[in-house]
Amino acid sequence: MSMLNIGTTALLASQGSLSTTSHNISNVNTDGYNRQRAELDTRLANYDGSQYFGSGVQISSVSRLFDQFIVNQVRSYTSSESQQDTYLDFAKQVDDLLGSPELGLNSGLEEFFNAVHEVANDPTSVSARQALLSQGEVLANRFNTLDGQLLNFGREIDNEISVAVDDVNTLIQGIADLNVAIVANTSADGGKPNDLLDKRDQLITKLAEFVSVSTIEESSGAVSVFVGNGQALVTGSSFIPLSVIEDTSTTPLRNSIGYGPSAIDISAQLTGGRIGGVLAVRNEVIDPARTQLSSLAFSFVNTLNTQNQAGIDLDGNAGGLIFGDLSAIAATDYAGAISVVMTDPRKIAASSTSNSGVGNNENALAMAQLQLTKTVASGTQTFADAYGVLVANVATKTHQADLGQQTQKGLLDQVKLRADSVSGVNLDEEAANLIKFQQAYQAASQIITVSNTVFNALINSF
Amino acid sequence: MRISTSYISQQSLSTMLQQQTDLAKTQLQISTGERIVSPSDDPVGAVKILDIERQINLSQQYLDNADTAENKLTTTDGSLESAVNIIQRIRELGVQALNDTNSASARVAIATEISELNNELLGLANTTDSNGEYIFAGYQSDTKPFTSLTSGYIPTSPGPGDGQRSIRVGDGYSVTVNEPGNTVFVVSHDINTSQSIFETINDFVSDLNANTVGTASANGAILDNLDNGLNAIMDARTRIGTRLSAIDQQRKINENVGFSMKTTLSQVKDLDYAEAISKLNLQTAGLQAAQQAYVKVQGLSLFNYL
Repeated sequence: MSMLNIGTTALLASQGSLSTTSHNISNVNTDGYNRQRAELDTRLANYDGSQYFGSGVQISSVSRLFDQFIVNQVRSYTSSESQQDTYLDFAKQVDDLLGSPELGLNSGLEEFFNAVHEVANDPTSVSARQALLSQGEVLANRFNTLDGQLLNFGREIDNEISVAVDDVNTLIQGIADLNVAIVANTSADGGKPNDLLDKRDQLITKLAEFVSVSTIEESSGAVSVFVGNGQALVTGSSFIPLSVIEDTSTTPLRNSIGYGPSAIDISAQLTGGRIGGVLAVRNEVIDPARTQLSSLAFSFVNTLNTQNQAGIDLDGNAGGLIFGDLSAIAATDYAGAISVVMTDPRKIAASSTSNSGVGNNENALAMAQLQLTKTVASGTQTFADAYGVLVANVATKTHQADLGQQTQKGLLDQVKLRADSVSGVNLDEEAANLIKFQQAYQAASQIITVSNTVFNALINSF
Repeated sequence: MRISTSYISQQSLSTMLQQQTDLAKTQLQISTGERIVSPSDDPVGAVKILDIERQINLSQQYLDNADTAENKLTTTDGSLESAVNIIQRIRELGVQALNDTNSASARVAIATEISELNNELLGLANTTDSNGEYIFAGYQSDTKPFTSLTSGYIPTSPGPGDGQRSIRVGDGYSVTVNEPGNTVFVVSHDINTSQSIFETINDFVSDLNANTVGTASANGAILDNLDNGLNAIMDARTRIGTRLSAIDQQRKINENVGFSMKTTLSQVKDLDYAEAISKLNLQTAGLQAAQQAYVKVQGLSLFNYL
């Protein structure tokens, strides 16, 4: 093997290393890029009959530096963090809604019962009675608004689900396409299309933001992606899309997630990511809040109506309904349906039936006392207690989600740092490599020069 | 451990963003003066606040109720005080008229004055409050309790003392705010068992006019009957006085409850400014340091020396 040939291999190897370094430098800020390295190897030595003479250097492969274990961890923490983040996002809105002094029920209840007290103080005053009806309407409106907002959050979640399903379908199609390209571009001697692999990894990590996934790499180089308890989204070159289906088991109808051509509901199996987050926050925060609010509305309406019906109004007639009857309403919709049906303030039954009269305020006193009576949740909570429990439930869940999100964020940052310490580009390192490979290239050039000089010396001797 | 270049800048960027978020939160706390901005900041504290606010509101309502009750009792007491004065004057005139030295015409003159006073007394018994309610008509406050001197008590409450309205002025404490006319103005009579004071006086006036005082059987005990009336009203005033002092006590209790609740509320809800401001300073310093460190570290590169 001639010096010239050896010098040439060295030049080629240095060039390869330099171009890999350049590729690294140019992709320093590319998302999902894993740094590459030209792996150098000695060429097979030549045997001249007695000795082995080295025949220079070659690039055995351009490898992608990454750690599959860490990459899997990054995906799993990405899913958890994204789930907590989405959960927190919605829970915080519910939390702010219930805690708001303008929208919360607390002050509405207080003002209503203050108005009842005023009627008890002056049972013949029509203006005090009118104030009671007006406060009743204000309170009913607050119930309606809270319920409407909670329903709105439900619709936002529906929306989030359909957007997420679209995104997931786009991503899995991309992964399937990349599978095809990767299989086609993997050379027989093991040369891998590193940048395509980077792209696929990036798409899978992106997918993990929407839902927890697990992956299996096949020998061909294709990757299969699974969600839930083993439903395949991508197998080799094909993908099975998710779809938005209607969950008919609830009123109002809401979005759920279907799988495959027959659109089987797999919502219950999906965890993690934004999808897991919205499904969890709907089950754990929004639905229970609506149920609790609804049962509070029901207790309130029934208790107040019953008390009013137990008395005698200003015109000497038996008391009627203050709030509209809820018996025909679905159990989850009481808070949305509550309204004041009494229009004539004289119909408020301030008087008791015994010894009745316009100046009799015994029933109004009894009505005011309802503020302090435990009438909700089988007689264990007052109205305000019940609302406090509702606020506390949501606040606790939100607080937990906040802590959980911070924890997951911390874990994700750590594992990302670890992934990055393996795969990320460090410019100082690349600068040093640049110098190193430049020097190697210069030295290789000298080999060519020297071999030329040696050859000239030989030629010139003739 | 090797660190990638983009990680360094990303890391310091996200640190800065986090510090900005914390800083904004402290700033919000300081500008609202409240430690708990959303319930989730402190779920236990948030619910406690709801509870305390409700109690403060309730004690405030009890104070308002106490004002109403006091108002009503004072009005009633004022009418009764005038009634006492009138009856005492009638009694004095009665003593004078009973004197045998009086001529018939003198008795007629006295009778005229007593009759005037009696009508005034009747007016007091029919006093209405600012809502137009008859304050001595019990629960039937739209019914004029005494339509004439001889009508007796018109409302159909079953017995004396029925129809006493009460107002809640404290937790589990209600105070009665009216005295029905059948307790105050209908009193025992030596001959007719029980009769309105107006009718008793009216009978006396008739006797004076007819100059039959001392001969008619019905008025021998006029002074005793007047004393019965006076006593009934005095008793009512004593009860009102007791209630007024009870209201005062309840008001003190409610004011104390309100005050201590407000103190507790402030402890739970209000921001410790000293702590918050030192936190703000610390966070500002932290953010500045992070910014400076970012600029310094970003300037470092081997490429500067190539």
